[in-house]
Amino acid sequence: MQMSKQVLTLILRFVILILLQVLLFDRLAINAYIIPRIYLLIVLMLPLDSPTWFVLLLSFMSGFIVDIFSNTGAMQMMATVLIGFIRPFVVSLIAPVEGYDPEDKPHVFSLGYRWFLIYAGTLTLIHHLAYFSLEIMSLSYPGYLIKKVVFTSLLSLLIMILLQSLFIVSRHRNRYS
Amino acid sequence: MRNLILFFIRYYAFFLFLMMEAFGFYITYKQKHFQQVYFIHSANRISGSILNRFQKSIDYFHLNAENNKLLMENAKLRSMLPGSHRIDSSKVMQTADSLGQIIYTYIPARVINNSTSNFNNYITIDQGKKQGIEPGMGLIGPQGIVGVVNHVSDHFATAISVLHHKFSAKAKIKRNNITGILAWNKIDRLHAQLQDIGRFNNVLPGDTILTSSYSTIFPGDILIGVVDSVYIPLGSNYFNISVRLSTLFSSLDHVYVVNYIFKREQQLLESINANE
Repeated sequence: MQMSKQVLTLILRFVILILLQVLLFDRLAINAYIIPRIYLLIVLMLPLDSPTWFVLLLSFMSGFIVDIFSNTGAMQMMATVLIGFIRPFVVSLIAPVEGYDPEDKPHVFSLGYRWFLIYAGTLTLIHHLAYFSLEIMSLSYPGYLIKKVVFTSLLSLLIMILLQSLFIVSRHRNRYS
Repeated sequence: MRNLILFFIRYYAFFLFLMMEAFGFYITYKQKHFQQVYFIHSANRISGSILNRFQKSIDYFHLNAENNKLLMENAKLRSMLPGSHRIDSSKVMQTADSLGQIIYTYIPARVINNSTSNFNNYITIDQGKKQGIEPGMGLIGPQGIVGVVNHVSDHFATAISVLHHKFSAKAKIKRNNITGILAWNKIDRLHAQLQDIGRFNNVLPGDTILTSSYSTIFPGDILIGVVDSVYIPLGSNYFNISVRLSTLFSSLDHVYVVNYIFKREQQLLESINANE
């Protein structure tokens, strides 16, 4: 029962975030230079004890679907697989002093804003740096690259935290009311 | 051998990671045709129809603006009709032969996906092979040139927009017919660069830039934009010309795909010269 509920949450989150990304956020940003990449939440919010192959597989799938919709070759996929791979290292680097609880989940309400900001901030920054470097494929515009990486990361992070606040709080409400 | 297998099992995640990245590199940089063959682009059947349906459902929100744009274009075309011109009876009137052969046909299409913030920007349209669209055809909008079709599927097509590093088109200055090549510098989505204009020519800010009739992609005299700034870099023999694009790429909707009927014939003939 618990298992199937988890699987259902995973699938729902995957579908909703991908649709939000390709139909809403990829278009909203058309008038700005910045496209927030909120689908990273799919990878970021996987349970902390997920096996690495599973994290890699989901990174691969989500990145590839977003690539297809935005005509970016396989660049999103490469960047997302990269953060899927280094996620466990980041998680163990920033572990709380007393270690992780089996109950802990990688979102703002379980481990706190500070933990999530460091965790998601690092991974988002790495993802965007990898993606934009792959996209430019040249060292001629370092200032532009850094500006784009920093501002896109900030916006992605902000929207991801907002989305978490919206969805997770409502789920808690359902449970306790 | 057993140790080797154990080694792979132990570090499987790393090898899986390497394989995925290698696959990504392969299809992004090495094998561009892979993307076309396996439809890894937004014109494939599934992503195409999702984007199409979504676009249809949000169309109502900007019907008004689109109508205005089309009205403006209609008005422009109407002003070109013979009836809108004053006939000066003291001169011999010259009009185009109405029975003259048609050399360009236009296929109307809607933009269903569009990007402007990347280094290489693409446009997806809702017409494809079934409607006669082929790679290499030009794309123009009510406000000027838009791009060139690069991939087609049965019902959709993708085009590289002017804001793409591979885009180039022959362009001319309206005032004196000097031709150059239009390209994009990857950063500024409002401007493109006009290259190959020697320093002894006469170019001024405010000059109108049109497509050249030498191009086999676009018909001649389609608006591209207006010269914004002109300078000659130190030690260069060419102008550095920045052209403000007339098409607003952030709000594309209705476009026309240009089919140059004699394209193959012209290219075939020109390729004979190249082979000589």
